[in-house]
This record gives sequence, structure tokens and C-alpha cells, in this order.
Amino acid sequence: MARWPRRLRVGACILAGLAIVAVCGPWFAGDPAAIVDPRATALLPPGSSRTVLALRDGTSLSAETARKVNNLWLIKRNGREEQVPAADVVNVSTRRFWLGTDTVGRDVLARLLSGARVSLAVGSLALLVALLIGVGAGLAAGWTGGVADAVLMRIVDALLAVPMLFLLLFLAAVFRPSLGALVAVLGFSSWMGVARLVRGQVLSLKERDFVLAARAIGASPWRIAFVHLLPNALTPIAQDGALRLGDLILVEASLSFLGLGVQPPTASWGNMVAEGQAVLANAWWLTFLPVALVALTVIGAGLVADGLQELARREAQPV
Amino acid sequence: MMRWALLRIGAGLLLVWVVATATFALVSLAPGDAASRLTDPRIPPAARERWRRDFGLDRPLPARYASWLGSAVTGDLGTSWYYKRKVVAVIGEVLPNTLLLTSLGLALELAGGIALALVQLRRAHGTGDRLITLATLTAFALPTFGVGLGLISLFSYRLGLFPPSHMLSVAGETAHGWARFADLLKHLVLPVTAIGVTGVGAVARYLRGSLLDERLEHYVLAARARGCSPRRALVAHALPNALLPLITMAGMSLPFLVSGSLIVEVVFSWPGMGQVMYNAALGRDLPLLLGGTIVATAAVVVGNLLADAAYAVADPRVRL
Repeated sequence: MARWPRRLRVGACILAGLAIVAVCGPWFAGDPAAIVDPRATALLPPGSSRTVLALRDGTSLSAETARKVNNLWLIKRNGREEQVPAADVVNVSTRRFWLGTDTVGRDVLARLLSGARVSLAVGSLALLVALLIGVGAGLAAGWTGGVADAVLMRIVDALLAVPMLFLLLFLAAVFRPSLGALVAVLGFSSWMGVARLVRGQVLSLKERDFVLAARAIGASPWRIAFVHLLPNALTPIAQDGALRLGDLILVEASLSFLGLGVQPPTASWGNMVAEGQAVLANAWWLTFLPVALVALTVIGAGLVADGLQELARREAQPV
Repeated sequence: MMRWALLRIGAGLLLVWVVATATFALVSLAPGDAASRLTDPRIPPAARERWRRDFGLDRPLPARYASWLGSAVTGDLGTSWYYKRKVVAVIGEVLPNTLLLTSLGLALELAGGIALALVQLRRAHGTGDRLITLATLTAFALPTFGVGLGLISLFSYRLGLFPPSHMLSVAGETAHGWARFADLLKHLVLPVTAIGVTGVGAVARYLRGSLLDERLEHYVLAARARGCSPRRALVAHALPNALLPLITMAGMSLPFLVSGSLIVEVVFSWPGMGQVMYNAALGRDLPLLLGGTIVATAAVVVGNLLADAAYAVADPRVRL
């Protein structure tokens, strides 16, 4: 096994790290929808901490400072001194918001982590849909050739010329967007490139001697397609898939930013930016952090694609 | 040549027709028609029914499709529910703004990409090359809305250098001549930069790879053997050949350019096609959405056609 190119290793580490964080993070980060004390915890910068007084009526107060004098809690809340009878306070705890809070006081770290789950899941599931359709169509077109090939490729050409975001806008306006629909729409709108790539690979592979050999020992066309042709085209498919994953995550983020993708209160990186946009001038972390995570994911995917291309080049050259 | 042009134009018309029919079908199948927009509960049901009859909504779907297609062919795409004006008029008003924005953005992206790739190739695999590669990968990975908001945050809010939104300021609307032009330029800087930044990564990354390949070709070696300087061999010999596929790439990226400008227009409140389409989607202005999708598809088809023709002009080996 040849050593992986460095780009591939770095990119794979970034993607694997993000995937682990997305899967495990939400278990540790607490409830992304929890609102402690909307006004008093809104728009806290990263690293702030607040003393949280849980009250008997189920609500809680968030205080900048709190001290107990006799049977009264003296707290500073929203910049004003307030008094709370100690009998009303059930529990006192300190809470730190490592990445700050949003406009209604929700923890940005918790929301980023649950958003990571949604964004990565929508992106990878859409990629899966695109790969299934694209590989199927590409194999069918390249391997059978003739009329099927011509028809499939004209369909691909036509769909590639459609401005997809406009169609997505259209679909989002006509039908209520749900996560499943989003995955389906994103997948259906990006299988054409995969089909083109797989077809090209099949066309060049099927003239090779090993296919002739397989045919000579009586392998069925299906067996040749899936056991001989497809595995030999895996590296370019994986390379294209990595780029496409980045692209799908960007499109999902854009749609959610426009309010036509993942719908609040479910957090996704795109709709977090949309919510932060209104307070861009005084709360940079609400827009910067989700954008940075989207970019990190796409960079990881791009590095993996570059690395795989280098790997393919190495495989092609005899050392 | 003539045959090729006719075939391509035919295929393009076919595509526009298919997209138009598909979107019309979606609109017709969508729950609720134009009459459901009369939300005032005081409107009596009889008036509602008459209204539907007046607008022909009671006719069967094929009849509605036929009359819609008939007027679409003559350039009438219906009336916008929101603007209460002809769809064609609404689009015709904002389309030039979008074309201005996207053509400048495309020019910036191509010029920037070519410049960056040439700088990288002066010492391939050196420190500068690596740094620029990292920068172009980052630019490629940044979401368009992120770049736009970042530019607004830095250059409008912090530094106050450029306006964050719209195409003209209130003073610019009424100004004439030079003052109006200067105002427009000021408003163009940030959105054009946003398009350029997100596109420059793809161009530079692609061009660097293909220049690395072209540099090893025999014709570049031959030029060097004739005493051509390395820089001249790169710029005058390798670059034109590496640029050729970029024409196809520009044509292929037209749909992305259309959608990229949509996000930029929304972020910068630019009065263009994308902004109008976005508001139509939010307000379920179906005739406008339908018309806009058709016009955008037609624009992309024309763009692809021009890109192919340009390729044939630029590369004499290609015969149409």
C-alpha cells in the first residue's frame, strides 16, 4: 500500500474530525434550543459566563454577578441591580458560553454542533443520492452504448444547462421544504456530473484487455460492469465525489441562508448565518463561526479531491 | 457551420420548452391557485368563483397550458401577482442590472485567476505557490453569502468605505451624468468583489494545473530552444492553450454564475433578477417565478451557445 499524499491525509483528517464532532458533539454540548433568559443572555460574546438562578416557577434568571445576603439574592441583570427572595431560588449554577450566544440567548456552540449534524448529514445523503443515480446512469450509458447512451447523455446535457438554484427556489416556493425533500432535491440536481464521469471511465476501460479476458471466461455483462469496470473507476469517482460533497454543502448552506432550506428552529450552518445577519455590525461570531465551519468542510473535501487526483496520477505512472 | 448552429438553436429551444412545461406543471400541481390569494374572508364565495372564471382558472389543465404557451411564444409571460405588471416588463427592468453585475464579476474572476496562476507558475512548488494555493482553496471553499457579509462587515461597517446595499444612493437616484456614474461605481465595488472572490479560486486552481501540464508540451520546449525566455514561453505559448478549456468552463459555469449572483444580490439588496426571483419565491408569486426561470434558462442556453462559438473561433482545430 503506497503512502497517501499529504493533502489526502490532511483533508481526510479534517473531514473525519468534523464527522466525529458532528456525531458526538451534541451529546456533550447541551440542548441547542434551550433559552435561559432571552434578554439577559442575548448576544454574549464568546467566552462570557453567567450565573444562572433556577426559580421555583420553572423559569431562570441569568445574572452578571450574584451574591446572597441573608435571605435575598442580590443580582445584576441587564445592567441593573435586582433582588430575588432566596426562597424562590431552587438552584444556582455558573454557565460559560464558549462561543457566545445568539439573539435570543441560545448557546452558539451547541447550535453549531447540532447544525454540523444537519449540514453534514444533508450533504452526505444528497451525495449518496447523486452517486446512486449518476453511477447507474453512467454505467448504463457507457456499457450498453447505442441509443440508451445517446438519450441519457442528451438528458444530462440538458439538465446541466438548467440554472439549478432557480429551480430549487421554485420548488421551495411551491412545496414546503422538509429535510427529506431537501436531500432528494439536492441529490437529483447534481447526479449529471457523476454520470458523465462514470460513462467516460467505462468507455475507456471497456476496451482494455482485462475486460476481454473476463468476457472470454464467460463473465456476464452485469458481473463485468460491477466487478471489473466499477472498481477500476473508483478513484476518479471518489475524487469527483469529494468535490461534489463540498459543493452540496455549499448549496445547502446557501439555500438555508436564503430561508428555503433547513427551517428554523432546526439549526444548520446556513440558517444560523441568516439569523446573525441582522446583527452583523455588533455580533461577528454569529456569522463568522458558521461560515468558517462551512469553509473548513469544503477545504477538507477539496484537499481529499486533490490528494486522490495525485494518487491516481501515481497509480498511472510506473515507478 | 450553418447546420451546427441550427441544430444547437433547435436543441436550446427544445430545452427551454421542456423547462417551461415542467415549471408550468409544477405551478399547476401546487396546492392553491391565484384565487387562494384572495384571503379576505369578507369576499363572498360567488365573487371568488367569478374571479376564477374571469381568469380562466376553471378551464381544464390542457386548455390552460395551450393558452399559456400560446401567449408565452408571443413574449407574454403573464402578469406578476405582486407587482401587478407584466412579468416581461418586471424582468426587463432588472435584467440589465444583473448582467452588469455578473459580467463585471466574471471579468474580475477571470483576470484575477489568470494573474494568480501566472504568479504561481513563476516558481512552481515554491513557498509563494503553496501560499497562493492555500488562498485559492480557501476562496473556493467560502460560501458566497459569507464573503458578502464579511465584505460588508469590514468595508461598510468598520471602515465606512463603500455602501453595503442597493445600486444607487438616494442622492444618486436624482443625480445625472458623472455624479450618478460615480455613485453606481461605489455601489458596484463590494458585490463585484464578492462574485470575484468566490470565483477566482476555481479559475486559478484549474489554470495552475493545466499550465503545469502545458509547460511540459513539446511546443513550449521548442519555443525555449529557439531562445524564448521562460516568461515569454509561459505567457505567449503555454497560456493561450491553457486558456482554451476555460472558455468551455465559463460557459458551463453560467448556471452557477446566475445562482451565485442571486445570493450576492440578496446579500447586497441589488435590484436584479436574483433579488426579484428570491422575493417571488418568498411571496409565492408564481407567474413571476415561472417567467424568471424560463428567461434564466434561455439566458444560459444562449451563453453556452456563444461559449461554443467562441471556442471554435479561438481554436482553429475545432470545426463546427
